[in-house]
Amino acid sequence: MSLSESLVRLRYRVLPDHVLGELLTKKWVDSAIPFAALVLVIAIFAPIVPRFFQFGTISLLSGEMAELGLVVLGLTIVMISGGIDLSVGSTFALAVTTALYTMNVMGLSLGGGLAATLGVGAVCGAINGFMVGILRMRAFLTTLVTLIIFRSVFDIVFPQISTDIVMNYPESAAWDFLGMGHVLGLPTPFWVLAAIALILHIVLSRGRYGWRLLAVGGARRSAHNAGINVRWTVFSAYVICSVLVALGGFHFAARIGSAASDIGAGMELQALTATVLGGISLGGGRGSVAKALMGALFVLILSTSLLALAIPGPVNALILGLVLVTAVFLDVRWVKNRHKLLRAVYISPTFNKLPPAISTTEGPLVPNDRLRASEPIGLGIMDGAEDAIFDREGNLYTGSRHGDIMRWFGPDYTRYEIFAHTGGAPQGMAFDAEGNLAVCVGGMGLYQVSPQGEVTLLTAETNRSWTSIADDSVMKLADDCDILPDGRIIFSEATVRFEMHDWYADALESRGNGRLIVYDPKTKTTRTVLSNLIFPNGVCTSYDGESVLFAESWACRINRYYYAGPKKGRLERVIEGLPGYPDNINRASDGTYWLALMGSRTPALDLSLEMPSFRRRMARRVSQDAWLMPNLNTGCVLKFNEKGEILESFWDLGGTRHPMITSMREHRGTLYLCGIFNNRMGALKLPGADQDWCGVDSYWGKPT
Amino acid sequence: MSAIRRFIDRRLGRGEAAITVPVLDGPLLPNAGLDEAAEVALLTYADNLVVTGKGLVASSGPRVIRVETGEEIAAFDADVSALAYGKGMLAVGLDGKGVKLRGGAHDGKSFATPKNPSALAFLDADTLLVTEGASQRRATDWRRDLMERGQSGALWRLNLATGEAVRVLGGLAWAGGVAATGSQKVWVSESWRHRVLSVDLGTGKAEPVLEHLPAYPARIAPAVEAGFWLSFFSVRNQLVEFILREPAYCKRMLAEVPEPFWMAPALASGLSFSEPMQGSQLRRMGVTKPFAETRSYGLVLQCSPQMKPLRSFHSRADGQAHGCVSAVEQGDDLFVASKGHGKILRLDGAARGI
Repeated sequence: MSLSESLVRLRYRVLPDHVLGELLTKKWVDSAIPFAALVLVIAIFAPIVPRFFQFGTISLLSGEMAELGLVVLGLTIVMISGGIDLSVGSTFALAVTTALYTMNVMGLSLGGGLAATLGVGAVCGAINGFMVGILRMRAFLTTLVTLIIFRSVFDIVFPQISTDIVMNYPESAAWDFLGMGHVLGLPTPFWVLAAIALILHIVLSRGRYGWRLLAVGGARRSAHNAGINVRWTVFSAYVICSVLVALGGFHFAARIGSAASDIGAGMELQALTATVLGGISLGGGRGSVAKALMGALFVLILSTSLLALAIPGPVNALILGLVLVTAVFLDVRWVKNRHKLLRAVYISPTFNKLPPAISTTEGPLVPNDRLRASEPIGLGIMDGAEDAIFDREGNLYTGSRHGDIMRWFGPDYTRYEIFAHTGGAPQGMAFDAEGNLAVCVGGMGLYQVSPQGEVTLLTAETNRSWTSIADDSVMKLADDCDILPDGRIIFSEATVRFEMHDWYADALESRGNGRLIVYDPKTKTTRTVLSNLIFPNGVCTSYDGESVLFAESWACRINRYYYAGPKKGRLERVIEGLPGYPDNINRASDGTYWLALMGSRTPALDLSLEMPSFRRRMARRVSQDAWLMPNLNTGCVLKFNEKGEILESFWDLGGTRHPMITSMREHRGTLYLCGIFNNRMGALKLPGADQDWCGVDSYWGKPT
Repeated sequence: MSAIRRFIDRRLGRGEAAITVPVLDGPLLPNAGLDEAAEVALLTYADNLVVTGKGLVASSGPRVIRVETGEEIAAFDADVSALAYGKGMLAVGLDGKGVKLRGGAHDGKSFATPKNPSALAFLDADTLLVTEGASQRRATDWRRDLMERGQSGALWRLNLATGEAVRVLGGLAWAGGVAATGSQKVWVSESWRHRVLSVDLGTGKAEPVLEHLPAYPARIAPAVEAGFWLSFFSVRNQLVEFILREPAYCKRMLAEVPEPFWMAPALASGLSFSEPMQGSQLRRMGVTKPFAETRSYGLVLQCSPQMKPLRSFHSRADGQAHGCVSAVEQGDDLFVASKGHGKILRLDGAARGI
């Protein structure tokens, strides 16, 4: 091995590129930008603003945070629903006026004042909501108009009552506590905000209402088609928004105790900057409470810091405006390009130099056309027969792309019935001692079909590995299963990183993305026994009663795993350097094993396996249709014994009848061939084989 | 500045680094014309169709064969890489050995340069035009030249009377075909740059007349109805374009992988299980998609006298007439040699015009 090759090998072992792609699939990466912005603004202002980190400053800040935070949360709800509310500042002003008038002048109790204030907010919100949600007017223009109307109402009313407000002061301890009081060192309103934020977070992320809101914002028509009352949802969003704004106003009134004529002016700019910067998409359907609060904190720190630095108000507003423009730009670019970025970095091939291939020019693997003698079964009906199995009565069971398990009736296999429907893509199958069929269903997990055709889920989850970034407890591609003598089901999961239809992306990666899992029906537990396998595929229990054979497709090798006996838990190589990509393994009548090679290795692809960066660029730049892939048009079926010696092979050069052979099953002197993308199965007579042999008997003995 | 741009282009796959391939559309809209054509003869490595006084002849390796009877007319000590007939003379290009003349006024003459002729055309009774694919590479080594981005092709003018050989134009990325037009300007196909040039024999100046072809043009044969038949090695393939821009992989592939198994254009494909396969080539439901990506293709294109594409005949990814590098008219019919699949095809009435 050359030095440069060792370096490449080391680099791909030490630096796991695939982690980056998995990080990007996380929902919380959306918060990365607002979080970075928050850190940035703190880093900038902490050194230059006096007393930035002192408790008094933070306490004061948290009081203001309560007011702005409530407004931002309200706006967030409207924006998630796909709208916008520019009238928050005017509503805020009306709310403050109401609060002061009811408390100071009318002398209502705290509850009464609060109810009146929230009521005014609700009315403002209902006006907005009625026009936008029910009458379906444009949110932007409508709320721009209500911004002016509410502000005008405020301008008309406020001068008439301002003197009264200033002259009176409520005799309410609760009111004082709300305005001045502290709990655990922080202002009371802050705790109110914290409680509301927590409730909102739960509603938005876990509640029915939150999900509906996100659905309406994401796609109105789809939400409507899904039975969601879009009009009412939008209406309610505006009402909630204005009520939260009014609550913010109430806090403000309690804290300041008086009002000026410019109250709430420009608040929409602050709130909008906070939401957009926080990553609440202007297009709707994306956003969370945490993001909104991060945005609000950013804006608050920015504006109070600028104030502390004695920067004039207009300049302050200008800076805020520039931040808003930047945030809108980032929001658009991020939403538009996030999936592109994910696509570009998700596929991360690794170094996978294969050992030299076993010769196909001499020995048992010399190509021939023996498979061309096969008789087709279900020509034109089969679609997705990845594996097949026979019961003692000679019925043939196989899967289809539509999620069915078909039962073909012997001996000629011209008639069939739908035996069961799984809903996924049935792959490997095995019969247990009671005649139940264990089936691996791609995208779903391990299932069991009773002799009556009832489908039950055995397992779809295994233990999550500690080091995984993406959640790998759910099964993406259960591939082939077999049943141990004690009844436990051992099965392979080919890849944890890709869905079934993206299997060739896994081939391109050639990383150990797969695992071997054992399900114990007695305890109903699932446990991963081996992981980091390179597309583990066929599984077959050995005749020795203590090990299973399994294939690693992209590594071109067959392994043996000991589940019992003195070598329990050990892994051994049985065959290395296969000239093709091994798929299913099944028992043969003479005490050996059948192995399907789904395709052949090609020197051009083998070379690229040593050059991961070449494959990564190929995945990014070249269309999937043109990717370099294993030569799946020519495969073969071969026979090997317990020692791993290859005994003979059956080929179909060019794949005229059987391209991409994924499995084969011997039954009463005939070898049946399967191909997941073929429109048929094949039956090849084996004159020398035991004409009475049935696989079920080989596992569970002849029926007595 | 340009270095920076190249760097950015390489990152983003723009400009020179773009691997987009023009689509087969308009006059190049795919059909199954070549697959439906009548099979006249099976002939391994059928190439260089020429109509002589004795009828249609073709080359097969070192032999020249009469198509109708299958009788051997001549045999040489090297592969016949080009043929031309005019005024009773048969000009024969021999791979790595130069040009020889049989019959007519200049019978028996031979030229050692250009050494690796790829196409021949008579300009007049005493002048022969020769293209040389690459100066140091045999015509059969065209795949290596393509993958190494060779640009040492040339157009030569041979004076048969004096024995003088003049290089008219050099530095071509494989000169694959030549045709006379009746004026001082001749057509030359520059294969690896996917274009046809108009070359002025007097000044040696070249200008592209047909560019951005989705395939690698080979020989150019005159059509009686005024116009030309353009034949092609193969279509361009996105993955090949990508590999051409991946020097590290390309170099190792050329050095370590046996030539038949290169991921490179070919005259025929799918012959061995060790050949590379691309995703869309997988046979699904018993069918090879005709629109799959492919390394080999059959394409003959008719162009107007001004070299504007008019119509084309195809053998697509699932077809059995790939690598059609030679075409010639005889009477109303067009004969096409599929070198990749070793046969000669007849397109009835194709030469009668559209």
